[in-house]
Amino acid sequence: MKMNEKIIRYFEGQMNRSELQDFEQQVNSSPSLKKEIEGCRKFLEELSSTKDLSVDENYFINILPRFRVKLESGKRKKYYPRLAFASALLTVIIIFYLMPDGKIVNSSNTANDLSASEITDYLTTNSSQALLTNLPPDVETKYDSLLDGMIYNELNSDREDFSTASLYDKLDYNTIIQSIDRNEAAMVYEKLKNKKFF
Amino acid sequence: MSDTNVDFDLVKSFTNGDESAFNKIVLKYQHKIYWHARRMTGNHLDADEVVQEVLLVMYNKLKDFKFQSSLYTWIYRITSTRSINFINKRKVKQIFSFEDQPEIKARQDEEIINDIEAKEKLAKIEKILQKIPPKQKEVFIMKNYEQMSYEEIAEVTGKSVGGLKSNYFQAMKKILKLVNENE
Repeated sequence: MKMNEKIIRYFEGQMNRSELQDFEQQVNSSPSLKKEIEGCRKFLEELSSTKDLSVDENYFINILPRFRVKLESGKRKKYYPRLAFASALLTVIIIFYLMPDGKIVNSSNTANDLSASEITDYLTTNSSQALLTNLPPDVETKYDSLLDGMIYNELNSDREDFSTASLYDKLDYNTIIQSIDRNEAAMVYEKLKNKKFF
Repeated sequence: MSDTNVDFDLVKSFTNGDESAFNKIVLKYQHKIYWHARRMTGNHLDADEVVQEVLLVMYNKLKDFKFQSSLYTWIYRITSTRSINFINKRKVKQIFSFEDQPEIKARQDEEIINDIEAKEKLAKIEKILQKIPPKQKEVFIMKNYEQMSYEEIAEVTGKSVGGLKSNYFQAMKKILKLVNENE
């Protein structure tokens, strides 16, 4: 039997007479074992002396009133986990499907269903976030023409001006200068003079 | 009237809607609940939290109590389980540093014991007991403070006598080591 087991049996009072005599002999012949036994005895004695301590009885007087207060406030704030879960789930679903202005987006089928004015409205308010990828070709065309229209509108010009502009892209600087007469040059000069660049 | 009969009547009255019967049960057992929670958790504030939790469990579950054990055994079982749960939660909190050192120190300093010498003695014991795993500590406390037999402890904890003996042995081994380190 290991020494620890013997010590525990000793403190538990489980040793018979001869075992006890042998153990006591061992303890008396070993100072370290004696010290170990004394330390443990002291600990168990101290533990026994803390069984009935004098305490502040106010604490015990207040246990019940405090519990009753807690119980009452708990009843008032009753928590319904299932209801909380259901409402959280509903909120997530609503956020997932609806955009801020209440329209369903990100679906090519839905985009097909929208009228031109609805798409224009949507692009006007959400052009920076709009995802035009993965759309069917006819919808892309629809968007393209609508976007073009919005750009012309914004620049106070029409499709013809843009055709001319794209024609000028193909010309070099000298050709453009030569094609401008004196009046046009004076007008451009006046406009540039009055333009605030910064 | 025997103690068990008194408890039976109190539980019956409470089940029939008499709230004052619950108060009487609490007044009868609150010291025992507190001291078991205190020895398990190792300080007053944590013990107080466990006490309030135990009372809430008692209040909610007393209606289902069927007197298959004594009322005291039932309350003791709730206190023990709640204390172990509390210790485990506290350990997690400390690992993830949800509680900082001054906060822990403040909790340990809160006290209801009047006598300074007794306070110091208890603090020394609690310091050692806190280093023992909760399940081993539970058996050690029941044996040494409550003088319960292994059979009685088995009724409270629902564990086998063999398992309890092993837990007690492990607890004693650790205490022997800790006491000698502190000497």
